[in-house]
Amino acid sequence: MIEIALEWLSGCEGCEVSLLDSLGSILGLIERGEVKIVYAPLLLDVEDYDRADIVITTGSIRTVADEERIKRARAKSKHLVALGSCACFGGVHGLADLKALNDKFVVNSPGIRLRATLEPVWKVVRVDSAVPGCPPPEKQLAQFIRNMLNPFPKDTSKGKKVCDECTRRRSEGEKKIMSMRRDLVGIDAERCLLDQSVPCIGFATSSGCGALCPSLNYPCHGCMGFDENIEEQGNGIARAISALASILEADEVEDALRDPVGFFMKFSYPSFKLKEKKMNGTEG
Amino acid sequence: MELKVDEATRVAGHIGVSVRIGEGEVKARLIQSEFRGFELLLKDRLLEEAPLYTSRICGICQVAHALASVRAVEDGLSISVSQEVEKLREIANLAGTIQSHLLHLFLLIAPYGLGSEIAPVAIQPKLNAIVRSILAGRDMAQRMIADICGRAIHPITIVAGGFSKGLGVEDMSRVASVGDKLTKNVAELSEEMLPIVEGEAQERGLGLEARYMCASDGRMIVQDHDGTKLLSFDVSQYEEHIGEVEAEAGYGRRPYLKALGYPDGFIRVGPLARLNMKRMDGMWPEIRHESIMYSYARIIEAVLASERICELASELRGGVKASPAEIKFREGEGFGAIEAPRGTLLHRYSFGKDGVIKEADIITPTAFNSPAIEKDIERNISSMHGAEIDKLRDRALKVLRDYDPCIPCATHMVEIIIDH
Repeated sequence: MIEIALEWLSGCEGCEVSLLDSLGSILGLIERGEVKIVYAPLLLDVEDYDRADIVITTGSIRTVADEERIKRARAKSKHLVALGSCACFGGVHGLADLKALNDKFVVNSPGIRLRATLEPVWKVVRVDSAVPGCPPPEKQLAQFIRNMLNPFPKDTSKGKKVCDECTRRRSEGEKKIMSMRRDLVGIDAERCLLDQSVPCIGFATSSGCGALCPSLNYPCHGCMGFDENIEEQGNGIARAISALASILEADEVEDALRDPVGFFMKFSYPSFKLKEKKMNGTEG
Repeated sequence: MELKVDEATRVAGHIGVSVRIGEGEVKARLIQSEFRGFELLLKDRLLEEAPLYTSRICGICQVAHALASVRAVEDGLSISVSQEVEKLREIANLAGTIQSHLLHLFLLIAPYGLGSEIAPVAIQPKLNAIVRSILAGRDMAQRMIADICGRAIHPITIVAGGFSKGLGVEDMSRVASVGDKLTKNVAELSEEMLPIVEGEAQERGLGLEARYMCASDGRMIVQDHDGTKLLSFDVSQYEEHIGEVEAEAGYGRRPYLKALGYPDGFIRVGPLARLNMKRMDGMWPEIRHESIMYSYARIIEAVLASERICELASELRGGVKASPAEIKFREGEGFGAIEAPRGTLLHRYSFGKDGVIKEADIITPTAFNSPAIEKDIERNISSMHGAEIDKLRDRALKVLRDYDPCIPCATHMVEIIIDH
């Protein structure tokens, strides 16, 4: 019997609901007595737990309470999983730090404290395995649930990018892009989006989603992250920037992209912040 | 005496409740201990990407956020959408409402009405037939959203002008057939659930008389507790009519009707408000004020929504074409309002001539409902004079859960303290 706890930090709860959408397979494990959920605030009235074999964390660390919660969870667990792009990379709401660091903030609530910066889970505690995605793709989630009984084999898709899974037709020869387009009118449904100057970042994004967004005529926006190792996102982003720079006709990335931060770091800004070093667990 | 719950379970997000019980006075405070900062992060982002960012506000009402957002973008840039697109969006929003309502029924209130075997789904895995049926209904609604928006959580295809990928005849026939099954599912559920909820309403028998509000065709309509129409205004005028004060604790703001001031001008939104404003013979014949009736209303709404989905799917059986709009940026401001599962949701963006967002304002249903939740808890606790603390705690949590608050959604605040 494997005991599981679900710890939610700051996030949208889409990952919890994704798990709920996969409840059928989880219930199977529960019914066979292979898995027991000991803590899950959304599902259970249980207010605390002593220990768990696996703690699944969702969301990122925004409040001091999140930080305390994740440290307690780490101490209680054998295996800690970061589920979803917030837990893995910081997530979309990490972009609020761009403003928070510059703007003036005023006391609103003396009882509740925000951390100076938002962090992905790995910057505060050791993470044993990661399931990225916003939310994690169904297939990845199913694989994760199946593997819960085993000690999480490494992902075999290492190094593959969304482009490798995408069925759109790429043009022969060298790409050159003057400026990214801002709408999707008249897009050829068969051709590579980036070839058509649509700001698609599938070339840098880790695979696993089956190139879902491009298959819907919508550009990849990087929710799977840029490196399988969640601690290497910063380097992944740097590689993505230089890869794009090499195919841009424009002199500066900013000339081609009106919002480079939004393009490269929608889900990963907290993993890129240069001033950050890995925290030793005691810094606030 | 203070009754305090630091972290309420079976509520979407991190929220605490504090109830101070003094001589002849009860003070209830919700403490939202989450901060997401979407209004901050939207500054300097591309306007056309607003739906992509804002759906991440909430993994339960993601479709409603994306739709309110895309409406604000379209409003700001004068982009018109076709009837077909409106109808397909309505289906997506109704399916979103059904899955959210069923989620609430399963996770939050079901344990009261259906016996303890339901909440601890993880502890007692043998689910009863009703719970299986609720989960099956949710699953159908989620699949329908995925068919229309590319996936159930965090829709992909909702873009200014319509959808980035259209739905063909076969796709629409799948939506219609899931709609049929869903209609049957929720009709059966309603037969099982309505008497249980009505029983609970009789037992508690308390109602909080309030003003009710909902959004309809870009207008906000406010009705008094007795059904008298109080106000009707264009969503672009909301700041003239709706004021906000900061919560005394936690990260939240408290909207109110300016005409009545704070706290008297508190408003209720959501399923109860919508049905109190609609009123239908048989299904919802009179205005009800008890918070438990929110749950009753959710069941009725699930029935009505599934029927409406079938109607719309039949009108769209020929398919809906992909119709992303051509975007010409200019300086301006756009408003989007929608009835999200939990009630009226407003998005407003102002942007520069390069189509980059300057300012965003988002008011969520949970923000609107927060003053009413506090008042309702006070009223309930006051009526239970002399009861044991466990009973008071239980009631406070029941009232809180009746409203189905969504804390990740309650992003609406601008001033925070950063702890260095």
